[in-house]
Amino acid sequence: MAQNSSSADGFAQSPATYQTENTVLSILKEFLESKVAVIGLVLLGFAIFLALCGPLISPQNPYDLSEITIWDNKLPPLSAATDGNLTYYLGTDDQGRDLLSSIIYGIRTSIGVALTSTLIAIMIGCIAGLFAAYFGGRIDSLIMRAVDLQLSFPTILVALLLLAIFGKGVDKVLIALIVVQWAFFARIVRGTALVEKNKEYIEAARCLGLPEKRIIFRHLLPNSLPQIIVVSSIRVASAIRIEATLSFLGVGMPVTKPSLGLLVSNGQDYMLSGQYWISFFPGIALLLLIISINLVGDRLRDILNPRLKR
Amino acid sequence: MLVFFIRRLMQSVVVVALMSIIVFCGIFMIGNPIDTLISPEATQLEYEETVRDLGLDKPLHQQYFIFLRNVLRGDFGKSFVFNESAIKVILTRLPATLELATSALIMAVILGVPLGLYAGIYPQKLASKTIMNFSVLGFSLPSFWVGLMLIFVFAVKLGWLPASGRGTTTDLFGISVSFLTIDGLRHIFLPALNLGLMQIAMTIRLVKADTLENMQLDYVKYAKVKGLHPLRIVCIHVLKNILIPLITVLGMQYGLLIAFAVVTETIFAWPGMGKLIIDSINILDRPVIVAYLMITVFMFITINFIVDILYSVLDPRIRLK
Amino acid sequence: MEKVLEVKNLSTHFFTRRGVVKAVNEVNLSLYRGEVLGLVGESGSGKTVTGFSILGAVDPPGKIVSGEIIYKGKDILGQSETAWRKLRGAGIAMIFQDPMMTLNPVLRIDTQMIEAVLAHEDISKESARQRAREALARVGMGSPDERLKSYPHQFSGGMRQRVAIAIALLNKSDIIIADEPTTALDVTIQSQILFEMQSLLKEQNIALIWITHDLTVVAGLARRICVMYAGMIVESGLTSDVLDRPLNPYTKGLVDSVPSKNRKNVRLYQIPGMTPSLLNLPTGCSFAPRCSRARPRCNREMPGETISEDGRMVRCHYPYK
Repeated sequence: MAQNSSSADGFAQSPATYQTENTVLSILKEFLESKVAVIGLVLLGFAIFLALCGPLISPQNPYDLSEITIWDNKLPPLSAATDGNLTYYLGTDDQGRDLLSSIIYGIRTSIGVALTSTLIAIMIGCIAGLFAAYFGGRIDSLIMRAVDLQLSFPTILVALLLLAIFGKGVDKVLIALIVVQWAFFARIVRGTALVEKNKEYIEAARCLGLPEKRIIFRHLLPNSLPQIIVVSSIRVASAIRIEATLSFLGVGMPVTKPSLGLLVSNGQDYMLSGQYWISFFPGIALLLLIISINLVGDRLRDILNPRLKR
Repeated sequence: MLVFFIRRLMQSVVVVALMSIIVFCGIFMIGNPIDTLISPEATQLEYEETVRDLGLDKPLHQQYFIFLRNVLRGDFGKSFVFNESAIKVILTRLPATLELATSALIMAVILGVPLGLYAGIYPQKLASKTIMNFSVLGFSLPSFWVGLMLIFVFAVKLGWLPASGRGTTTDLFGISVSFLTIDGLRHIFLPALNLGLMQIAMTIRLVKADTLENMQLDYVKYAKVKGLHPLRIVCIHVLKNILIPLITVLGMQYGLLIAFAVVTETIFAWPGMGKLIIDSINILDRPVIVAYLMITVFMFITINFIVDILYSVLDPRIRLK
Repeated sequence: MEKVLEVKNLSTHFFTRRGVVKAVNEVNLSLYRGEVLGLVGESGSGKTVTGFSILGAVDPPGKIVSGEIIYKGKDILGQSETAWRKLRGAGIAMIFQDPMMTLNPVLRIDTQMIEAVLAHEDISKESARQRAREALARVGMGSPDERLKSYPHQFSGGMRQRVAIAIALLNKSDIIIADEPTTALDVTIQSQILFEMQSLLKEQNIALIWITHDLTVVAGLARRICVMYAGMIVESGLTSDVLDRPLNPYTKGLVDSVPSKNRKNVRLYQIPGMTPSLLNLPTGCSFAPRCSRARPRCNREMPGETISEDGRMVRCHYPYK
């Protein structure tokens, strides 16, 4: 009976999986109804495009010392380069780097770090949440205690202190971000998994002798998907923010791989002397990035949350 | 009620104990306690003295008890930089941070509650939708960038408000506070606004959601049918119902405010704990970092505890069982 | 007898995204001073909305689209919101079905009673409190001072409803509209409350519109009843007449479906079919699809009101004789 698993449990395909497959299109349709959300989506798409193709379309690689001219430092927006073959649309920073290019590279770093850490956090959180829900009892208590403990402290603080103790570096930033995020997913996933676990088809699957791993991943997990998607968007935006803040404070990304936060930090000292653009434009980029993710996430949440339906 | 109180208290104590173990492991097992607690500039004599004091030559579990004893005594070692007890260094700066956090909280309430109420009562109106969109801005804007912009606009360009620092302080019950002077208020305004921005946005959203939900409930309709004035219905009937969850959320957010003060204090050079911790991280003044860690943990647990108790006291349905 | 309320041709429609819901359609009813009028119908028949319309308390997207509401000789339908507020809770008071939901859970009983008085009269708080005390005594609640200081959740269902009745009695109303006031209570409490209300109303000569889906409840209480179906009144007259000799097939169906001691071992009658959706009413008589007496004319033409000289009204093309 158990040789060809796809036919053996064909009937037990969880109702929610059916639903998700059929309604991705309807979710898309409903999403597009809100103009604000569409703007967010467009902005986000643009940012991702920049992140992926950055080095190809950027006017300059600001981290290649051969490409920058130190004499061009702190030039206001729309100035021309001294050697004439480049326009600094957004100005230059104190090292002569083209701000527009720095921002493009910065977006890449910001998104990259946030996305990577969130994805890993999702994996860890999902496993923890699913295990907690499925096995219940002591395992559940243990995992949820850890989650509660983690969540009762502000993320910024935990991240800050982790970096304070373990030092700086890209890997340490990633680890800090993962540590502060997994708990959100664990909690959500456990919640929805618990609701599903008590439904009859799970009981049926278990009676059939289906391996636990299969039950967990093929049945409990898909039902948590909508919630995971919504929480992810909030979390990615939050991760970008936290990383930016950490970099701004000097405990985040290193100077060799700066994110938007570090760029803003670079321009701090020049604010008082009127050279606002060095901090201003990276900040705007950061702002638009976070807003677009939040708008998209907000809309997704309104659509996927049944209770709020009017 | 008393049972609940005691149970929560026990829970808090357990969490504090747990945290102390985690911190201990972090410093003494994973990190190098010698680096962490002994200044690189210490003389050989001081070095040996500290090793003896902390029992670094003794077995691990004994070290933990020495550590615990020190913690309870408030001894976290001496700051490398200030050459004073680390705890003292932090506690002298605590009032400044609390002042900032409290001001931010007050701003959040004064601005957030009325706006949220309006948006909840008239959700379809353009003004409400605008308020809600602005609230998205509120927690999307990175606070450090907003801080810089605020300084640029109000201090550099307009020159209305000072760009940094704390105003003149006066003594209130032995603690120095700055909000009692005009100069103090001028200095605290921008940082409090910066810190409170995200809080204002969250308050608006929370109040709006709760108000919207409450307006659909029967008791509002009933109050209307009794002939009560709409202002009374909103400001007394509805408000009292949303106040309870609001206060508890704000209470928990207070901890967040203290945490985020790190950023605001750095930008505005506000002499609080936050700025201290950043400086300490950068110059590796580790005893201060450890002390900060323990103090914040303790504060958080206390805040959570108070908020829990507050909730059960404020809601008459729970208070009078 | 003096007519204290006359409703002429009242229509209240709800303009929703999915269409127009004709909750109340061309309703005519009269209420005489001191009498009890039963307004009977299934859920969704429009009886509650009728009650709200009389108080001008229909919330958007609902709107009174036509008709007259004549209270003590004056048409109140077009009056200002301020005038409505003066009327609500005073001239005309209302009692809802579930007092747990209608009394505000976080406010004390005295607050909720005193405000009902002060909204209509400019007297001292102490006098208002005294009135509240007297009202509670009148509805049979002992130790009124203690009760006044309590919160709604500390009372049982029956006591809460007594409080609601007391509130309705605070301002010397001419009319009380009671919307299913005993449905949420235990059967024994139900009859107690019914009995007490009867005597109270007689005492003060207050007219009562008792809205219910339960024929048995109004049978002993109301002098006249109106039967509603799908937003329209299909029959009205003296209770004894209507229940003993129903003219409208729907009324007859209702009467027949009530279990009775006198008809043992007979299968309970059930009106076949389901109530129509108010969004999508059939053309012609709304009851025609379920009516055993229906003929082609019933599906084409909505029957008008036929009023006989003894005051009975029936809406049917082919009523019983």
